[in-house]
Parts: sequence; C-alpha cells; structure tokens
Amino acid sequence: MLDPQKFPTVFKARDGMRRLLLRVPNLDVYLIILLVVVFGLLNYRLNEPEGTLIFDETYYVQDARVIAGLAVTPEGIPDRWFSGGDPNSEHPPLAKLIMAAGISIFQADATGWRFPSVLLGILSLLCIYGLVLRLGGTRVEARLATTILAFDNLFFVHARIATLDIYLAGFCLLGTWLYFRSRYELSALSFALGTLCKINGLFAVLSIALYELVRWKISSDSAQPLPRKTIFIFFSIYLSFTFFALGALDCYFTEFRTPIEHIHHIFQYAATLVRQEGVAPQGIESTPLQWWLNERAFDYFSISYSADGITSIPILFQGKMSNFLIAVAPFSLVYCCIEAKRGSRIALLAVCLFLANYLPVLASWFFARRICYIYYMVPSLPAFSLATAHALRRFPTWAQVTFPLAVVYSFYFLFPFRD
Amino acid sequence: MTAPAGALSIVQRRELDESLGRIQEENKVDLAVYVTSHPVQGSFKDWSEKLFVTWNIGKSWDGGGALMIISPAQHLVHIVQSAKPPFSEQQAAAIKQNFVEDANSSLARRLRRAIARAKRQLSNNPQRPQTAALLKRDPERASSYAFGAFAVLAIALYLSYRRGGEGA
Repeated sequence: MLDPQKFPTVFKARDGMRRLLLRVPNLDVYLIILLVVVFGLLNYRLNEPEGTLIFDETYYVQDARVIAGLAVTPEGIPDRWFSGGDPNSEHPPLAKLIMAAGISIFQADATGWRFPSVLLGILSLLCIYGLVLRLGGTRVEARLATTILAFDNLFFVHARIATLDIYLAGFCLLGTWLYFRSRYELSALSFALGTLCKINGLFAVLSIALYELVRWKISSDSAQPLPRKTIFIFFSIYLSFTFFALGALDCYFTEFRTPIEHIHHIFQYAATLVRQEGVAPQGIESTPLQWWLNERAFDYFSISYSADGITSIPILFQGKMSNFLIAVAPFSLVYCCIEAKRGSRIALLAVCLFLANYLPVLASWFFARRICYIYYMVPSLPAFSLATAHALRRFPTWAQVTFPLAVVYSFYFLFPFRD
Repeated sequence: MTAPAGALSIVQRRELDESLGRIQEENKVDLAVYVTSHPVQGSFKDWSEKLFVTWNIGKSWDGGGALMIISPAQHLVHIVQSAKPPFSEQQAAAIKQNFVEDANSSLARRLRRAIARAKRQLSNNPQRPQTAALLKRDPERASSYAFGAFAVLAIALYLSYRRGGEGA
C-alpha cells in the first residue's frame, strides 16, 4: 500500500478521478455504440467526391477559402471579395470562420470544411439524448429520439456537408440542453453562437420563451411561477453577446460597421428572395406545406456513369427527409400538444422547438412569398424526433423497435454512397 | 473588342463586349480582343506584345490580363498575357488552335466561341482573392465590440459558476 504522506500527488489524482467518475452519469452502452456507428458513417469517405463541392458548399466553402486567403474558383463568389474577408453578407460570419479554421487545420482538404459539421451532428445527438433524460423521459425514449434523429437522411446529409443549418441546429440544441441543466447563461451563449452562424437563431431562441410562457399558462398555479428573472438574464446575455460578437466579426471580416447594419442587410436581402403570387416554386424551391409530403426533395449532388445502355449512380446526396419520420411527425406533434397540456415537459419542448423553427419560415412564405427550400426543415428535425419518441412510448415494444428500424431502412436506401 | 469597321455588326460587337465584360466581372481578368484591319508588317508576335504593353492590359486587374490579336488577312492569331498569366500555355494554345480550325465560320461566330472557351478555361482555374489590403477592416471598432463580447462572456461564466447549475 502506498503511503498518502509520501505520495500526496498520487492520492490527490486518485481522489480527483473518483470525483470525476461520480460526475459522469450512468453511461448508456446503446448510446455509445450508436454514436460510434454514426460517427463512423459520418466520416465514411468524408472528403469525397474529391475536388467537388456538394450543394451549397459552393457558397460557404468558397467563402471560407477567401477568409483563409486561399485560391477560389468563381462559382458562388460575389463581385467584391478580398482575401481575409467574408465575401458572403447574406449570413453572419461565424460558421464560415469555423470552416476556414477547419480548412487551415486539415490543409485545404474537404475533411477540413466538413468535419465541424460532423462534430455538431454528434453534439446534436448527445443533446437530444440528454434533453429527454433531463425532462423526465425514460432511457428508452432518449434512445428512440436519438436513433430517429441520427438516421434521418436530411439530418445525416447536413451533418456531413459544409452548410449552415447543422451549425444552427447544433448550437441551438446545445443551448436548449444547457437551459434545462439550469445553465441559463451558458445556454444563452450557445444560442448566440447559433445566431452568429445563421440568423434564424433569432427565431430558434424563442422556443425557450415560448416554453416558459406556455408552461406558466398551463400550470396556472403558484407552484410554477413564470421565471421572469431567469428569462431576463437569459435574453440579456443572448442579445448582448450576439450584438457584441457580431459587431466584432463584422468590423474585422466584413465591411459592415455595426451588427444592426448587417442584420438589416440580411433581412433586406431575404426580402428580395420572393416569388410573385401565383408563381409555382421554381427549380429546387418548395413551399413549407410541401415539406410535409417530402415533396420537392432534390439531389444535392450526384455522380452517374453510363455504359452499354446501363446507368449507374455510385454517389447520390439527396435533400430528403425519412418518409417514415415526416409521415408520423404531424400526428406526433398533435399528440405532444395534448400531452403538453397534461404537463409533459418533453412534449411541450417538442412543440415549442417546432413552432419556433417552423412558424417563421411558414409565415415568411405565406405573407411575403419568400422562396423556401426543403432543408429549412433541418432545425425542426430534433422536434420531430423528440415528439415521435415521446408518442412511441405509448406503443407496445414491437412498435418501439419497428419504427426506428423503418427509419434506418429509409436511411439505407438514401445513403449517399451506393458503390 | 476592337475590330475594323464592317467586320462585325453593332449587335455582334455589343454582344462580344458584354461577354468580355462578364469575364472581367466574374473572373477578374482583363481580356481584350483586337482584330487588325491590315496585314502587320514585321514580326506579328513583337507587334502584338508592343500593343499589349501600350494598352496596359490587365495592369489594374488582380487576375491579370490577356490580349488576343487576330489578323484575318494573314490568318494569324496570337495571345499575349500579363506577367501573371490568366491562362496556362496549354489553355492559350487550345484557344488559338480552336480559333484557327474554325476557319469556315463567320468572324463573329469564331470570336464568340473563342471568348466562351476562354471563359470556360478561366472558370476551371482557381483564382487568388483580391489583396487583403483592399478589405476595409476596422480593427479598433472590432476590438471595442470584442471587449463587449468578452465582458458578457465573463459575466455569463461568473453567473453560471455562482449558480452551479442549481436552478433559479
């Protein structure tokens, strides 16, 4: 036996390790295996197709290259661009800066601009799992929600390409999880990071306010008063950090001199992306109503070969949700509305997450004829997986097993690499 | 686009000018085309290079510049490029070769094809972004905002640490 007097450092380290292990929650082997599998799938041929950009990477990776001072091809680049600056003024700069950092670390390889998306995808899964447990859900419910989200095709594709939606979804889910861990200030910071990646974070953060307001309204007793102080601190930190951080990024990487100027420009630009009344969606565009039928899904990228009259498609990235998930999503959400009224916190959160992310898009399309795309559903996918998992707990075990298997089945058929 | 009177119609000339303008705008390359009206005396290559220098082609363009000189009377085509050439030697040779081989088409059609080919070649070439010196940064203001952001961050961390995740 070692003498604590003689080896104090060893004993201090042992105590530290014990304390650390006590802090680690009861680890779920299923979750670990799921994360390892999904991480492997996300990284599978991550830098392929070599030398090609997938879908909107044409914009964001090119922007990131300009920020990193690297050579670019002219596609997706506006007229004025300067080395070290962010040429894309339609979105806040943070996500593109993270991609530029990835490019610098991985030596301009595609892994560099896609790996941050992989990390945020994994983070989103961890947060969904943690959220369910935190809000009183069972381990089965947490596993279901995580599995459904992990194997939804749209989520999976966005978690391995360099676009902004997974940054928004990842940071906002982290913010939501932190909020329910009572880390309100850190939660506000995380939501702010999401907003600095894509301006829709301004809407996503409303899910928290909505949750607290509805919960207060529903409970209608003094046992659960509206946490005014918490909400005040949360939004004060969120707004002030977003303001100052966006101002700093703008002054250094763009030609905007105040964050207000930039946000105004973003909304002004968005207001120009409209279709006239009566004109059907063009090309890859779709309406928020069509998404419920998985309509107007489109190919992000494909490689096809034709030989001897036979066409093969070895690589096909599709912007399409799992048919099973989107089919049950409306039912799950309605069920969650009823359950929320009965006091279920998970159900209420699922509904609030959905409303905060989907309603602004729906309203912009409905009132302003804003051009929309199916991938605007990415931030709503966690709400669908939460709602569906919550609804599934009422079903017998065979249904709880069959449904995620069905999602995996659709994932298999939509998997981008077919060779 | 410079061509002798009568070689191109007004519409054709405008169309070609617009194509060259698009290359300037999108590819940041100053591309010019000169069609000679008379046979060139002496070395065609030397004469082309003198013209390139006289016209200052590509001097104020980050992607450099190129001048395509055509002498229909002598059936000669030459491409002069700036010190930082927008086209590789093979690309320039391919553009010239295609223009020469397309001899049966009208001049306007040949020029249109040559410019389109040049644009395609340029689109395949990665370009350096314009110099960072042109980016109007405001580091002082950025520092002030960053100070604000760090202050909020510090307050948030302090409040979170003080609460210790206990809940409000």
